[in-house]
Amino acid sequence: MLRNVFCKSLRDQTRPLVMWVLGVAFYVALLLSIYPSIRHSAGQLQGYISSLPAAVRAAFLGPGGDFSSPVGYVNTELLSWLAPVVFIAFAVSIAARSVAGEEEDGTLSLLLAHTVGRRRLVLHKYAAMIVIVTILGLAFWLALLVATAIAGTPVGAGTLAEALLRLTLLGLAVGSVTFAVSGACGRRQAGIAAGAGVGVAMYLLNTLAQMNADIRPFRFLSLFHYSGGAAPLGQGLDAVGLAVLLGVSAALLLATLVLFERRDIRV
Amino acid sequence: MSSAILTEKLTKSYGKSRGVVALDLEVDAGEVFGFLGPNGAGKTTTIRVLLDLIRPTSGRALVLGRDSHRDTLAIQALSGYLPGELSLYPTLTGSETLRYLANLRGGVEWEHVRALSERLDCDLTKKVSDLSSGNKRKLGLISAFMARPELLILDEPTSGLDPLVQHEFYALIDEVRDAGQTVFLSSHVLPEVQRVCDRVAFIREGELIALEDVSGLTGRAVREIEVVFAEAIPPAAFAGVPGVTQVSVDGKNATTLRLTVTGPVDAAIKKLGEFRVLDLTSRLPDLEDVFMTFYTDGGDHAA
Repeated sequence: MLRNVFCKSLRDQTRPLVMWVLGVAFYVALLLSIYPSIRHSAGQLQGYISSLPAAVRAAFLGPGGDFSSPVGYVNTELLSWLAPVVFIAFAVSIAARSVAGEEEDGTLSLLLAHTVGRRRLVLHKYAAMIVIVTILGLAFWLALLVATAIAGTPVGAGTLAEALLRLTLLGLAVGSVTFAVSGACGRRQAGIAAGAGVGVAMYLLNTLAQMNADIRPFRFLSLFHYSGGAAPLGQGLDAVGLAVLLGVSAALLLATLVLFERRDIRV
Repeated sequence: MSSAILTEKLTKSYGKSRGVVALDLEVDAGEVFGFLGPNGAGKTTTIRVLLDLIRPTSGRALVLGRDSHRDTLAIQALSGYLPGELSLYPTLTGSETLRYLANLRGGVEWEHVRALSERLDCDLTKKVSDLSSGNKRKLGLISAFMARPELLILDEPTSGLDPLVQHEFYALIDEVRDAGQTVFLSSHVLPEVQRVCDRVAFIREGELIALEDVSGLTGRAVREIEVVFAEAIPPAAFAGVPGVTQVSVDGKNATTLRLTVTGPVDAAIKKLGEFRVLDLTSRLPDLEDVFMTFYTDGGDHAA
């Protein structure tokens, strides 16, 4: 695991990755274990939800707010906001540790003096981030697959995979914001602030756009618009959405390469 | 091509703090070159430009005949670097750290790493987080030497090393010189530079003040001697002694004498023998003082 910067970065992130995977698995198990009892009272619940103001429904439940089917339940309880938060928070934390982490720890100078090269360093760090966030996506997928099966409410493996691919790409896109900002200025905190800020702003934009016709035209500015919004599950995949998420990530990676190449490394 | 390092009008300015100003420096291939100056003089800044970790505001640096910015990787492949402020991965052991750095370079002869670690008495099995700062420094030194680089760039190599290890380090430098490798080392300690270097550049506030052969420095060392006598001492007694540049007397009953001696101390010591001495301490003055003596008042010494 000490072969190169990519492998070393994977090794460094193993512990946080395991913690996040365990957390996800636990939460998914908990959620699905209570689903059978929720489904019993789905009728009442649905009545209550319908009585809520439309704005509240949109903000907290998404367009679904549907507890009667497993897909609706998983969308509402997990994928509308919690899963995006998990993916974004995880990707942002990994991204902040990537270049800026080594720089603030003081190890970057030593690395760069050992014929690594700045471009290679950025590419290895970014590749490691992709792999790690993808592993979280796979773990999430597996947990949902197993939990829905055990709960007796199977959702297709393909359907789940589509949703988690969207969310993984969303996480990577926002993580790329952090990667670029922290790589460009060498400060973890700046990258985290940028990633978290962009994440929250885009979530709000997407949510408000569902409620307010004036904002709706600007929905295309939010990455959440491309990751399936509040109901990633059961939407299938759309080429435009995937292309936008991948394109944003690629553009940010490119920006990082350019900006990191040009600047001074701090002691 | 015979110069290992060549800087041309190298300037690095920072917002408020000064970096390096129009530095012209030439280090010949095969020599051990000392880069001497007080802390904050611009030594580390210069070194970081050589390694392309920071970019000059103007001017340029050629390392091993290559442009420091355009041919960074080629330069790094041929050089070993010890950072002034060394940070390592706390969770790795010493040998894991060196394996990683060696892998990044495309591998080194591991036998050599082992030999170096034995010479420097460095335990490679311990985790970095359990190492003292001196032992971490040893790991840094090994990483710089392990690839047998053509050029060694060492930023304050002996800071934090105990005297025994320092001695071993000096021996290493001698061997490296014999092998034809070039060493560029920074220091703020004059005796160290005198011990290992062929030539020395003095830098202060980002400017090159002087460039000297070390042989020209010997015999010109400045030291302060403080002597406590059994009885009061007339300062005039030391005024004319060869080498003594400053005399003062204080302490209770005027029994403490302070001398600044430049060059051989023989005459001053003989003179002291005429009185009853209770205590004697001698210390090398700060570099700043050395500069003052060499290049301000001591005009006759200036290169």
